[in-house]
Amino acid sequence: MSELAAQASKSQQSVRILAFAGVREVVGSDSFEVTLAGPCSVAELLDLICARYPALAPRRPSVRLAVNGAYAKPGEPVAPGDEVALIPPVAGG
Amino acid sequence: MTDLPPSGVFAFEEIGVELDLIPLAAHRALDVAGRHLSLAAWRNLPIEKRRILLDQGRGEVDQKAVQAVTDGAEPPAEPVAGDDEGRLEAPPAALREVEPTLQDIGRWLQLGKLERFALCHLSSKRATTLTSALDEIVGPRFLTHLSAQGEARMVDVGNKPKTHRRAVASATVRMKPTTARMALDHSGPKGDVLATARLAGIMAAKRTPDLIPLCHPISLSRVAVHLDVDVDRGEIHIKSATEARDRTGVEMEAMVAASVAALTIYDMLKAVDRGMAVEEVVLLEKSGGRSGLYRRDPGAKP
Repeated sequence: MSELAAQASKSQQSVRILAFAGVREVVGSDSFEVTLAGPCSVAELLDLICARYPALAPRRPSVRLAVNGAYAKPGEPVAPGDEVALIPPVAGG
Repeated sequence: MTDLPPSGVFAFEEIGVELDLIPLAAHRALDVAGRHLSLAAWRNLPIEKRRILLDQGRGEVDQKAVQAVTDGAEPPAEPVAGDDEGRLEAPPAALREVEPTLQDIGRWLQLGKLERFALCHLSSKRATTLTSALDEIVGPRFLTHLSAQGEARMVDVGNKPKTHRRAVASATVRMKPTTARMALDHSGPKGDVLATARLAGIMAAKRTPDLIPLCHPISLSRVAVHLDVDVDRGEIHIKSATEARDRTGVEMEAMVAASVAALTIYDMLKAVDRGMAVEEVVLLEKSGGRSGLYRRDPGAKP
């Protein structure tokens, strides 16, 4: 995503989602935007993402969310302008 | 994935051996060397290179070594102003407010550069993990019960908020199977063993501050003691649960309840089995307060 587009997303009510590994395949791109109606929790954001990409739903229990580079618990807040990464588990033990 | 975090990664970061996010140590190495890596670029690095950056952040950062690793990054690393780490000489005001023990600059400087970097970084980002980070980095290092001269004192909890506290502890009394049968049958020499032990545990919990020197008086809202007799193995298992809404935890109350219930069982049956043993008094679980939830790992040996 270009610098300009990234700045534009910060000024709207949206969050940039980075997709990695298996999630990238489902989503078809390495990043996308989600518009937030208001303050939202990590769990609620995951709900929105799975609604948009139903194929992600089966993976949902094993995908972890990192907000601005650090793992976040389901109840923690996500704010416009945050960068959220969807991290699937590493295959194998 | 192993349970222990890789060296250089703090437990609160919850980053495993595959280094799927950028650990604080790597952030430090990159900051000092004046390079910014996106998460995508970090994940595209081979794991050995991620380990190099992690390792660099644990000690004196070799800027050229860090830059050599990031030179091959895809997307490319962004050059940024290098950090001379002068700001690590003193804790920022926001951090001192949250952790008053860091007002003492001597204590701050006892922390390593990586630890100071981590706390400053989390404080400036107002990260939700700052509390866990403080517990991990500051908590065990500064024993709050000992003053500067090593004199024992009660910690000042006056500024702590009242939160819901809960703790569960257990103890085991080992005895001959025939003795355990007596406890179950109410046929012991001193009468009803289980009821007496249960009551003793509950009453003892309420007296904990008188017994343990540096414990605070707490308004307990609930104390429960549960006893389980295993005749075949010759064991009585005690489980105690305590609850309060207070400024400090109720772990000691739970452990005292379990211990005294165990001792009472011994007293009630010692006439027929002097060889009984009180074993394994442990905290199973606690919740509430700044350090949050602890659950004993069932496989752990103390």
